[in-house]
Amino acid sequence: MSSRRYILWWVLPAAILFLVIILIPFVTALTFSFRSFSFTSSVSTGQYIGVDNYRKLVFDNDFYNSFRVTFLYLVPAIVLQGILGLGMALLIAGAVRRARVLIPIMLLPTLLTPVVIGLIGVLTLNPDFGVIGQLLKKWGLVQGSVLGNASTALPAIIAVDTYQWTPFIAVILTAGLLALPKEPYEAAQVDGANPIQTFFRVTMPLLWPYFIVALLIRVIDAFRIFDIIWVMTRGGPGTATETVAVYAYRHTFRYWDFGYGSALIMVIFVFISILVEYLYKALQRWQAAQ
Amino acid sequence: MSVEAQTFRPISPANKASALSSRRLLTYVSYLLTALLVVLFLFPWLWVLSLGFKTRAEIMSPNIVWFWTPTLNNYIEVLINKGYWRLIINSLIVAVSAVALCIVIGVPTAYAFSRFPIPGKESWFYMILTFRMAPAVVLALPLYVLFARAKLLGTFGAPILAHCTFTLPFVIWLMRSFFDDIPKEIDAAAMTDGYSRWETFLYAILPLVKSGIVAVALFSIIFSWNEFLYGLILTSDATRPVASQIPSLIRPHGTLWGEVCALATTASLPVAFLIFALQRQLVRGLSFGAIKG
Amino acid sequence: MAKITLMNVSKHYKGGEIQALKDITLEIEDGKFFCLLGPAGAGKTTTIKLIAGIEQVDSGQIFMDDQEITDLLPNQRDVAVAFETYALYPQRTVRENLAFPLRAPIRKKEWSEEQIQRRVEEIAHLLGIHELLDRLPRQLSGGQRQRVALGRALVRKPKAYLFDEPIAHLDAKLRHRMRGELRRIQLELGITTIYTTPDQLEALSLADYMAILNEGKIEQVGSPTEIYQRPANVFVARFVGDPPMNILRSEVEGDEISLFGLAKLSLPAAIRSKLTQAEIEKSLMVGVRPRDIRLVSPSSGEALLRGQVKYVQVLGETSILTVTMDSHEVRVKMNTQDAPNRGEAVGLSFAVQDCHFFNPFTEKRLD
Repeated sequence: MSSRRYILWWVLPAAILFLVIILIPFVTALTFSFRSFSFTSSVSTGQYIGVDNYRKLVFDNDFYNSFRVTFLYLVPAIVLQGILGLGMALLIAGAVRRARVLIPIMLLPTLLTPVVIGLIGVLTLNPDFGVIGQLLKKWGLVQGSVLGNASTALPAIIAVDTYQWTPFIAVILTAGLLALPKEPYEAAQVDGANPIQTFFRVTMPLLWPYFIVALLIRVIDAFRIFDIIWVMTRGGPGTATETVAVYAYRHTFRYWDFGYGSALIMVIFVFISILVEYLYKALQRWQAAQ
Repeated sequence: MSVEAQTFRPISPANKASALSSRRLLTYVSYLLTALLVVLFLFPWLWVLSLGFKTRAEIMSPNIVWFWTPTLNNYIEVLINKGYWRLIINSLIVAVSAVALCIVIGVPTAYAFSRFPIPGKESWFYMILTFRMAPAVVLALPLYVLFARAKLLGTFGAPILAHCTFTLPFVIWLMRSFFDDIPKEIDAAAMTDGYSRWETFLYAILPLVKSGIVAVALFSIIFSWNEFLYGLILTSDATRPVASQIPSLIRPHGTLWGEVCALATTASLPVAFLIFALQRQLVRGLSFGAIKG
Repeated sequence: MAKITLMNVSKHYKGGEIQALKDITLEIEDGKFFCLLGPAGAGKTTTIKLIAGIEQVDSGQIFMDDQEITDLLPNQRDVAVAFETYALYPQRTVRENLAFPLRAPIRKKEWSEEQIQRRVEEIAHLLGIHELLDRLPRQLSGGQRQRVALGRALVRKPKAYLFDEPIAHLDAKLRHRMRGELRRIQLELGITTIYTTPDQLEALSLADYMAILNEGKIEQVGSPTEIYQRPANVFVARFVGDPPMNILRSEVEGDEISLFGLAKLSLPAAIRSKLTQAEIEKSLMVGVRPRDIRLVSPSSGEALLRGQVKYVQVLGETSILTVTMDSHEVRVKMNTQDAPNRGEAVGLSFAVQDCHFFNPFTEKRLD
């Protein structure tokens, strides 16, 4: 077929860029993960040490801790945001239908620079002059600094994360609510369902795909969260808020341990790609259903 | 209870009037609560914004100062006297260059993915999505090493190329969803009208996705503007974008909060502006086109 | 202007699951108005798309005159297509839509801006859309969009016009007028035209010659007269002509056939000999067009069949009667003024030379 040959020209520039900035670096990191680098040797060489870096990883308690922290942050954050987001969507859908301008306003925290969101967290939670930190101190809920305390630092990050992402889930679900077909409601009305039955039997099943897409994006995001934690706690106190991405950063750019850092990166990448596969399938199912 | 469900609730003629007024009341209550929610979510940002217009004493006051005479001193100090306006320019250079490059390269690719029988199409897409979703730290290390070898560290090339690692997949992914929305008959019509594939793309299809391209570009600019890690490790002081610089201004002691807030405000205003410009495409961009906004 | 030939063309969709065209061979003569008639899903649009180069054949070849065009891109084939789905450029006005083919970079030297404008106006007048020139497609009705789509094809003079149900969405009156216009334009320009339609009347009234397509196969090719008078099989017999031909199952009894066991008809010698060749001994399908049946008094000796009028459908000057006998139904077309009332007993008569005889197994015409 004569057209098949020049398909290549359409994708070639992107393929080259993809190769140079993504694939080659990725393979480089893969080779690094089998090597050891020391401060004295040149960066480009490194010594081949087989799977030693991965073996070290298996026995690294901090590595497990980072996954533990990620899940300790992720699970409550997503449950909280899912419930609040749904409630918020049901509340605002009517208003949004009349005033679309509410969508950008609501989404401001979601799209604002994460570093600024982190700064908002640091300042509002400041025990001496922060709007929220002062109240927490006055009510005796927290002694001293919220972010300086190992038991309150992670909840604080979850709170800031919830501030940032609840509007996102709410807006996605609102889009779902506004796109709902009318026929099932008419059918439910004919069948004499009450509003609560209608919600669980009609609204929720129709809204479910939107929920899945929003939640999967959030789950994957949880493995990327870095900026906000870096601004608020730098993973501390101790390793109390050290999520996977923060841990990987510490081992690569703080300790300049390229071999071990690369092994870490590979493990994280495999983990992400499994999650993405679920997301991808959900997206495809979703698109096929449309 | 859903809004839709309310709309279809049966109303018997006898109590129609009272049902209507109670429903209207419910609607007004929901508007009021929506307004409250908006205020609730905007408040922390606005409060931090306000700190940039306060003096140090006003900021550090144990009793929060609600009424004060705004001052621009923090802005003058941080942007002009300390020369941090450069950071804003740097952010702009990096974001605009990366996005321009990825739009020019990515849009034809997205069209090809939408229209041509590319072998392994879905696998490529899965890979693109995986790299888009991986934490920045995955590629930050090898990019640092490779850019060091290529003597790109400290030039704008390093953050621009690094930002392409997430912008290019995003452009390809989202633009494909826009192209998929256009019926293939339009291509067929243009081609039988005498246009080659490339001319069809330029004259018949691109005009149809103009607003889509603008949306994707603005979205990408936001993401690029917000990026922190690449901007931190792949740059020098001369090329560092503003988002990557802000955390270094926060110290354990003696942080100049007024100036930090002034800089953060300056950095977040363009984003806020872009969000409003994007209004119609926000949902689609945030959900990668899976949900049409 | 060109002759278009399809040689053993096959096409599958969805990874081979759906076969749209099965081994089609077709020759469309230069300068002729050719109709592709068939029900929905027969493969008409696929044929158009393959000739235009929008889709690629799975196997087989396509020629334009003596040049093989199977692998050429659509823009290298110089055909103009009017799509059933319109495929108008939504952001362009009607004027810009009509001018679009003339503005193609390959035609830059042929058409000056002034010529383009004049040609667009001309076509717009011809199709009665000159008042809509500055509107966008979304501001038009379905019928208006269809005329724009047609205009975009007619605006230039290609080697062939490919029209995919180009007037299906117009109202009856306009459709009638457009049919006449299209035929006139085609005769004037003498450009080879392929025209698909599910409407047999449209095909019969327009075509120089036509093909009947069913489930991806060609059932018959011929002039409208040939096809109407000598349908090649039961499908064509029933598809062409309105109301459809009556197909009567009948038993062969020596030199005679028995219709529904109610009437006897002597078998023409030509058919008789075919029967032996085809090894048909017992049964036969006999087709009679509703207009070839005469109503006679049930007591008359002429009456072959006797029955009762079940429905009378009045279509202005003519009416269609449904006459039942036992469990069988026969349709009769006649002048409304002569039509009997519902429930009346009637006798039916027809001449054996008006009958069409089909093989009951292959459903093919016998003579």
